[in-house]
Amino acid sequence: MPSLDRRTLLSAAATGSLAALAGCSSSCPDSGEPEPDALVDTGAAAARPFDAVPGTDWRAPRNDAGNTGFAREVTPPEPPLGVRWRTSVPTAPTGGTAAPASAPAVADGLVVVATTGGVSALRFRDGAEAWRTTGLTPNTTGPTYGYDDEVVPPVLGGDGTVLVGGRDALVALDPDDGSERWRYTGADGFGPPAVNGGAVYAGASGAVVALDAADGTERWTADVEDAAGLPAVADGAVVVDVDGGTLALEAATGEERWRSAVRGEFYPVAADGLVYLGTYEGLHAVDLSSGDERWRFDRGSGRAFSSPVVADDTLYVVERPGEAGMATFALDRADGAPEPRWCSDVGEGAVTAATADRAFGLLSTSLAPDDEGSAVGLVAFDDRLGDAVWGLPATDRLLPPAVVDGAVVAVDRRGTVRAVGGV
Amino acid sequence: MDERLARALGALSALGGALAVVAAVPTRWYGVPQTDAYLFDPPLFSPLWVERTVIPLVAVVAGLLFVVAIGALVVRDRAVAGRLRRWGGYVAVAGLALLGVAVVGLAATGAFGGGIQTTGALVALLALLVALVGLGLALPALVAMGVGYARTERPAVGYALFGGPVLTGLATGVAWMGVSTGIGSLPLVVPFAATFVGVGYELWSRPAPVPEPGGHDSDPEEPATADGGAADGGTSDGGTSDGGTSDAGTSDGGAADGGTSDGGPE
Repeated sequence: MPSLDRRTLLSAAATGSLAALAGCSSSCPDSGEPEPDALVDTGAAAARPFDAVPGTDWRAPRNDAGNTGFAREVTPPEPPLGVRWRTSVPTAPTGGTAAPASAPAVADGLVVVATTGGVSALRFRDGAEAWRTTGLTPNTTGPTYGYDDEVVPPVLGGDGTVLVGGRDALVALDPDDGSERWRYTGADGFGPPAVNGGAVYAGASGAVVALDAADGTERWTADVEDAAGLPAVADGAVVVDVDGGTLALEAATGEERWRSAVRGEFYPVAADGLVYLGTYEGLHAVDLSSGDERWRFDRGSGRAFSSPVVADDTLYVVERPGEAGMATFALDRADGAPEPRWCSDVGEGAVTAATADRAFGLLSTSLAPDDEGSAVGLVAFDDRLGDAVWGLPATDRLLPPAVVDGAVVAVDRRGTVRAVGGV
Repeated sequence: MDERLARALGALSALGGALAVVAAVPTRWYGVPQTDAYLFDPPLFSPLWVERTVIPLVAVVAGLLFVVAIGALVVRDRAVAGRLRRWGGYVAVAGLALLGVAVVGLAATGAFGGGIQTTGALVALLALLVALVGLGLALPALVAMGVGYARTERPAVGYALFGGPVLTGLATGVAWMGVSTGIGSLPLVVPFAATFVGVGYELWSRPAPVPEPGGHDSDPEEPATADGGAADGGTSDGGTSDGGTSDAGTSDGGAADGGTSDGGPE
């Protein structure tokens, strides 16, 4: 008889039962959440400052203006790993916002985090506070996964300017001391901005605006439906999710380039002439020039897809069935629809970053905590085989990490910042 | 049963046991990557491809050979076997056939390749149920057959038929309690496979039927014939210690059921 062990038996029984009861399930045949080969040492023994600031940056929630989440030149840390420093940034009462802290941005030796209490900048080497502002209130945006809104993450401009989407203004802060460089109040309810070619693009309640990155001067504004999500900027276009579909504007003028009825459930990703949209019907690729659909990837109805991470030869995306566990898929990019390379059951989570040979996925820490309430909240997958190379234990849900040379910076929803590096 | 056919079936039975062991070899032993993910479309002839493509085929063939092995034993001895061996054999064949169907179902759904495709989940569940029914029939039936053979003049095959399933049952219980041996399903499969190697050796080395002890060659409920088993033509070793009608064993089974009047229950 073949290697049919208890786990396989139970897996088959569970999968079959679930499928029978729920009507749909993840299409990933893998079962069980990833068990990393190595865990990050979270003890005090690993704590020590970094010797130098990294040579690479992570300036935006998904690293670049296209939201690819891909850091081609970055060499991430490899085991053995430890938490080199840990600190908490101050937050204010959430007032309905479930996650009072944002994902981090890293550049020029600073780690910048927005919270309900303002914006905090930490020194990359040791986590010491560089400055903190309390005079602005960052807006909130939709969840990376799950149901809890998150604070709009900061974006770092080319000169290090810290851009923060606020409730009533888009604010630029000086990276040296956090002082305000300029403030744009022509709209409200800003989402995270995107910086490209000396311009800042941001969605807001009822408008998309383009500002001069240097002084905040308005270049154009386009009246559109609620567009406060993360915009994708590439190839002279600004792509935003709007009510009822997806809208592409000319980056230079703000004129409408095309409008598609395909609406992403999260945020658009623009790369290589395509716009990737994760929807309830599958992962769509829309031509960035025309808005025509080029292909759609799906593995059966009733399974939504997140926005993908777009690497050179791989798309990483999370399949989100309605009534079953989520799974991270690595898809081989091709001329047409991609082909699945591997998938890994993650229960609940997201994939938000990748380097040339690693994909970084978030896992819910509430599914399988240990005796101390800790569980793997961030996992680094091998790009070829999907093996979980290492994992970062956490006691609370982690937000999308910043991945730079030799370090990964992760913030949990309560504002605890961890910098992971080699030990 | 023809002697050459019996020998051939014996060889196939032993082959089935060997294939079962091959199919149960832990995948890491031949280089299947142990990952946290399901890999689609592994390269041709890679270890993962072997696991996905070859091993299920080996498992299915092993399952079919199990049915053939017990079926051969039943056919060989149907003329002389008592109730325990005969009905045990019938039920074992049925149970093993169900197990074979289940293995085919599980193989088709990818259960042996690291995961079950969603579309096959219900088929896999059904296959598991069929497998449980099959095991529920086959294991006790094989044990019963083993008891029957253990009481004959050639008890070795009886020990194999009895011991294999019992050890497999014990190993299953141990595995179910969460005790890991680190060698996958081998502890479950090896005793079961050894049973069929034993059956194969029996068929190969002694293709003649095994009469009941004490010359009890047939089911007592079967009507005796006037000529007893005389017409059956003896076999090379069909004789029993009590002489009598012990040569009732036949190669064709034919009138052997006529048996003798002293046939008793096992």
